[in-house]
Amino acid sequence: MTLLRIENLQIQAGEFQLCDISFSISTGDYCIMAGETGAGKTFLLESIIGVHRCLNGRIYLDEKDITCMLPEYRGIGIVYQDHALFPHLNVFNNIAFGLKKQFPKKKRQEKVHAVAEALKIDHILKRPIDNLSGGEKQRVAIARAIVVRPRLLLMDEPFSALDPLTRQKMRRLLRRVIRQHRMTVLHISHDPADMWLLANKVAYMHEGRLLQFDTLETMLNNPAHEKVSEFFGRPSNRGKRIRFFPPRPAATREAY
Amino acid sequence: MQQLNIFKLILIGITGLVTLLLAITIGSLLFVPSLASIRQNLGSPELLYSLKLSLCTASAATLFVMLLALPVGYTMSRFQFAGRRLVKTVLDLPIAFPELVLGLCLLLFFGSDHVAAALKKVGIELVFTRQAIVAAQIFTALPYTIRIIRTTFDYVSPRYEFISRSLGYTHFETFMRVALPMAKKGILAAAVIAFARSIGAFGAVLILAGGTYMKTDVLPITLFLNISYGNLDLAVTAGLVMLAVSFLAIYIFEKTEADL
Amino acid sequence: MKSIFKPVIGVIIILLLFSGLSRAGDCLVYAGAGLKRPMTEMIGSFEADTPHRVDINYGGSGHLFGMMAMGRPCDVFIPGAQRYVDIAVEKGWIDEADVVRLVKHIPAIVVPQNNPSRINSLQDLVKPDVRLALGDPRACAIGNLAEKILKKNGIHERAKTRTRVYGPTVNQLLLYVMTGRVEAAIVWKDLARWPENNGDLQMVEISECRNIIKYIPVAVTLKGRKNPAAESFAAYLASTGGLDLWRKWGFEPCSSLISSN
Ligand SMILES: Nc1ncnc2c1ncn2[C@@H]1O[C@H](COP(=O)(O)OP(=O)(O)OP(=O)(O)O)[C@@H](O)[C@H]1O
Ligand SMILES: [Mg+2]
Repeated sequence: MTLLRIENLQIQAGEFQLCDISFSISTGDYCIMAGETGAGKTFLLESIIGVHRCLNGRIYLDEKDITCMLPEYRGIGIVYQDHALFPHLNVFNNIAFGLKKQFPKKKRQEKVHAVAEALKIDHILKRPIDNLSGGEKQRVAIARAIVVRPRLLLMDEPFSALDPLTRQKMRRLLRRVIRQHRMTVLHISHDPADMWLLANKVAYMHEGRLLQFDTLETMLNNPAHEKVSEFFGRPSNRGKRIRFFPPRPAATREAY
Repeated sequence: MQQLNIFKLILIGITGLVTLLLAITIGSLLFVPSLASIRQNLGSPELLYSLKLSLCTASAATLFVMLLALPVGYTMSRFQFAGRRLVKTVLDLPIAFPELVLGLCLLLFFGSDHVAAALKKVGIELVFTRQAIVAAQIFTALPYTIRIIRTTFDYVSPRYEFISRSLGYTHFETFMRVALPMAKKGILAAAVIAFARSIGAFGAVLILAGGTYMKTDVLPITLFLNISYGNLDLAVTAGLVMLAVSFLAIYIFEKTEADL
Repeated sequence: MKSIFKPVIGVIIILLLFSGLSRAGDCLVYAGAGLKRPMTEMIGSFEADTPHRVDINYGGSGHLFGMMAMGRPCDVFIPGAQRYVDIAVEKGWIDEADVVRLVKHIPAIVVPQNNPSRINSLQDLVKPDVRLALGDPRACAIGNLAEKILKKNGIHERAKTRTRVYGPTVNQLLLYVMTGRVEAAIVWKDLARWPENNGDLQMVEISECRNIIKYIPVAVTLKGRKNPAAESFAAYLASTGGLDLWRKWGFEPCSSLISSN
């Protein structure tokens, strides 16, 4: 079933423009989007949560037109690359932030503890956020977004600041939590491992356009655009090697 | 031996010189009257009156200024709209404006018969009254305060607000729960500056409120009046009180700036 | 080494330029703010006729007095009122013999253009609904004098209740009348001449028997005595040419001077 459908989306931001973006995400999908810096990935995520005004095109969530809906009614969560934790709140209150409006205190505590446990941050709930490690901050940011059970979770390079080992651990943790909550995710990442291990769909953006949106296999074997093949290129039997895209990592396969 | 960095030496020299000059100039206020006369003047009904009036009017003005500067500063920091440039210019204009000109503008506007009549209906009289002092102080302090608040919000990434809204808070709730607390220190600093500007406002207050002795004489006007009366000691005492207020304001400002 | 000299020379040149711009005059004059127009012209023609340069500071008489008290003496002192010269004599800054009564200084009523409250005499100032602006009696000479005139005519108490503002400076009073914030003010006649000619306000004379007429004194201070430029400027003010300029700006010369010239 289609959860998010975007049709011919066009949004302007100063010099930059998102052009003619169309794609759809089904319930339960895990999409990973890549693209050069400045391609407009972050901007696209912000457009989906609804903080930029659309010039053209439509956005549907659950077949309902939300193009002009205010962000607070959309129920779409976002996690930023730089975590963006509220500095005036401690870890617990950061996570509980989105629950304040709907749930009584008791219920809030239950929910926060549950998600904190799942993300292994239940021991730091009372800490202020400024002396957390990068990995901890990242998990708090993810917890804050998923504790309200968003219909769609958007993540902007959540692991980019982590070391490879932590990244691996986080990836596993995230997989479990996402599965458990049955969440639909649109995740921005350039890490082939993320694509292999998390995604069932992959997208590639360039200069405000969505060049291809498909399974990883298709992207690898049938790139629709030169830029796509530049990124996903791998040794071909024709010997025309453009860029090496690593194969599915064997070591972590057991983690499934 | 370390080679001489002449440029650096000159810069440090100039800085030292300017600081010394300022310190001596301001310090000269301290050496005019005797301690006894300061003490006596501090207790004089005239000074007490104007100190009290200054504190009251400046507090009221600060309150109004903040109520106006917060929404305007936030708007100028966050939103793009047609005519934004023009709005920005108009808002900044009074900063480069001599206060006397501002006072004249205020007199012409609030004094004009229609505006005065309309205001009188809601119980406000903005010429020759204490309310006029507050009005003049508001207009003097507002542009500075708006600027500070605007830069404060510029330093708060809008991403925090995007997150808050994605978590179900309306724009207004987000402003109250995220933007305001995150800008807290800058807002406090802005309030301090607004208060200090209000205490120090002279030209606009003189023209709009008239500067009548023991009626609309706030501290700077007391200072001015007493120079005119030839009562230098009281004038200097008024100056010292204002100096103390500015010191306190700058101290609080620096302190909040420091851990911003 | 050469590289140091260039900026140093540059700085010296800039300093020279600045000192040229603000070349100090030979003679420092303090004059009442109300005398700005005649004095500016007077200085212009004085500097054209003589090699001397004059620096002048305008201010409320009391303000000027404060500056003198703060230890900034001038060479020639021309306050708006005799009172300040008297005090200066008392304080020993001026010798009584050096004080000259120069021109008459006459108070008058000013009203907004078209005289909306129909004020034609001093008594009209206390009509109901008249808003008055007066000078602060302690801060400026005209304020002090207006108080005396009102007292002399027995309407001081009533005028007090009509007074909306006691302005520390006389120019403020004109502003309030011109903008219609008040229906009348008492200012110097000479001061009102210019805006009257401009059509910004109207002047209502106070009949001579009710009025108190003052004189503008000129005094060379004790410090100025040693300064030939100061003596020469003071003399110029009372010369035929000088008196003509005074007349042009609405001041009547004192009869004693006319006869002696
Ligand atoms: N609010 C805005 N106003 C003006 N320009 C914007 C705005 N937001 C983004 N841009 C511009 O849009 C372009 C795309 O920015 P965006 O942050 O979406 O890139 P990105 O694909 O996320 O890059 P990166 O991988 O480096 O994060 C950039 O040139 C950026 O300067
Ligand atoms: Mg980005």
